[in-house]
Amino acid sequence: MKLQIRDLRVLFGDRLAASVTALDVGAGEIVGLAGESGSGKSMTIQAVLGLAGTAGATVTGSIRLDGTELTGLSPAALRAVRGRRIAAIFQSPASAFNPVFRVGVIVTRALRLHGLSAAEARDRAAAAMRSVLLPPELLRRYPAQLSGGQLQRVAIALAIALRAEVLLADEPTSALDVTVQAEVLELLRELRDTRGMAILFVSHDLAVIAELCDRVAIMRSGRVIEQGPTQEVIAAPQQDYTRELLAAVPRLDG
Amino acid sequence: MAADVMLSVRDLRVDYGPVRAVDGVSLTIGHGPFGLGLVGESGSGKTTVGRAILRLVPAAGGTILFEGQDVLRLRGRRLLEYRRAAQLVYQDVDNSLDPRQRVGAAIGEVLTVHGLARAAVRDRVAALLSEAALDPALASRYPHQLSGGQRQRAAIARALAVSPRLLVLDEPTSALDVTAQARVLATIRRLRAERGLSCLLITHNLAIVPELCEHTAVLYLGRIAETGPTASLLASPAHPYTLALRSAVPEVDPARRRSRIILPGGTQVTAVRPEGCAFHPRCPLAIDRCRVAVPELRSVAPGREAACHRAEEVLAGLRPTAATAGQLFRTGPW
Repeated sequence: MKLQIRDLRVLFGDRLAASVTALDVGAGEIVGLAGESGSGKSMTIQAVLGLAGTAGATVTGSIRLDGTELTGLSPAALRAVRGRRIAAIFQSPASAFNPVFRVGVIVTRALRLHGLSAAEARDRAAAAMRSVLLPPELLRRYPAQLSGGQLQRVAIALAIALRAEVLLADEPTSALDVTVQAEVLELLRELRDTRGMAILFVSHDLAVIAELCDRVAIMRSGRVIEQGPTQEVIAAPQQDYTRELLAAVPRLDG
Repeated sequence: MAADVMLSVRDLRVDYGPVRAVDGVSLTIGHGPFGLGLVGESGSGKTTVGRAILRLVPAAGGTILFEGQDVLRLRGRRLLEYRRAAQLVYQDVDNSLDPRQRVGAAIGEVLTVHGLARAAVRDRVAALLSEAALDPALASRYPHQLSGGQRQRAAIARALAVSPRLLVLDEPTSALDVTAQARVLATIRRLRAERGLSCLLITHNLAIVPELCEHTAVLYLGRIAETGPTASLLASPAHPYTLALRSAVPEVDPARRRSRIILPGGTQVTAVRPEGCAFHPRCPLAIDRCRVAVPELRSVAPGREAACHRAEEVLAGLRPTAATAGQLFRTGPW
């Protein structure tokens, strides 16, 4: 299993922020993590990134990447994994890019930090831009000169350029127009299908999860309350809360 | 003017420097309870239309009539009265309430400014909060102590404080998760009926329009692409842009998923409009004529108008194919 989470608990003092007993994401698979604001979805992502501890939380349990335990790694060892093998995209792509640098500078710097030469970094950044259907010239722009959808695609291009095996996507389309959301979802499917990426996709919107994810885990108040193949969970939800989430999805026929 | 028309916008134009953000938009909003959906992507000009109607940005041309009054010429006391009658609810719930002001004070301030005796304010605030489905006890909280959905309800309660007849709702739920969105929409729908409100709902998401709006107008680069009764417009769009917007709505039920039309490129907001139809560079159904001739908004079916040379064909069922839309097109269900 590419990413394997067991008995993960994230605590702030005695308050439980997230508790995940078992969650796996295989290569070439998109797994959804669904729930309302405050349900613990993002905290789970932060824990996988090794950032929950930095935020002051106590993290226990096991997070394995290809069988290698990530919890308890030294900061240096974790840095080698985070970014290069495990990439992340977030809800607000604008805050993922330092506004005073051209996006190309940010992307190539990240690539160089992970060991590429300047020339390799440039080439790979340009190739990654083309694979997210953006002209490489956009790398010369500042973040404010790109739209939200374009910036999110640059963030995905960085993950591609780093040859990331796992992508953690925390509400990556919630701030985008539905048309742009459709494009980004299409791109994530392609990463799964052609690059075999393992994607953990967080969203409050079960319709998006239904369209994208092979499996889904429903979270409420920090705990996973239901999980299974997406089609099964949607067709026959076992929990009232899952039914509530489904009923909240707006429908074109009113 | 017909008796059932509350607000009539004719040939509205708004310029930001060299960019014509709104270019000849006409809309009609009936007396409440009534809802008009104004739908389009970022950069379509939908927010600008709403702000021009409320006199928050100057119009470069056109007319706006509210209950027979010329809105663009209102001054002084009459403008103040208009601003009571037509209220705005913003997308950004985090910034539309002062973080240092308790929720009750934010609403109470509006009441005092508009002349309610101080002694009566507390009761009125409690009543307004209940009307917006909030616990009146929340009046003593600060905005950051509320959830996003609660903050948006508080903003709605504040808008209701001056007893408006028209609510302009600019992406009222796009910062909320779907659960909070469903509750806020249900509250607005109830208020619409109870108070006989007219609503202008501005959104990028076609799926939330049927909940509140009898009528829908689709905006593309500052012009109306299509308009008509919501149910018929959604069931059978006449404009390829509406088709694309409809196909972008995520569907829970795989059996109901439509072929998705991916629009390449995003809206390009520039001083120079594309030649011919502004949508043609992204349109999967564009033909030679679309590259040279601007399509006028015209009647294409009873109650329906569209600005597309191929509207009749689209209405009759013409759809993009993988061949016309290239690699960006994906057929469903998958």
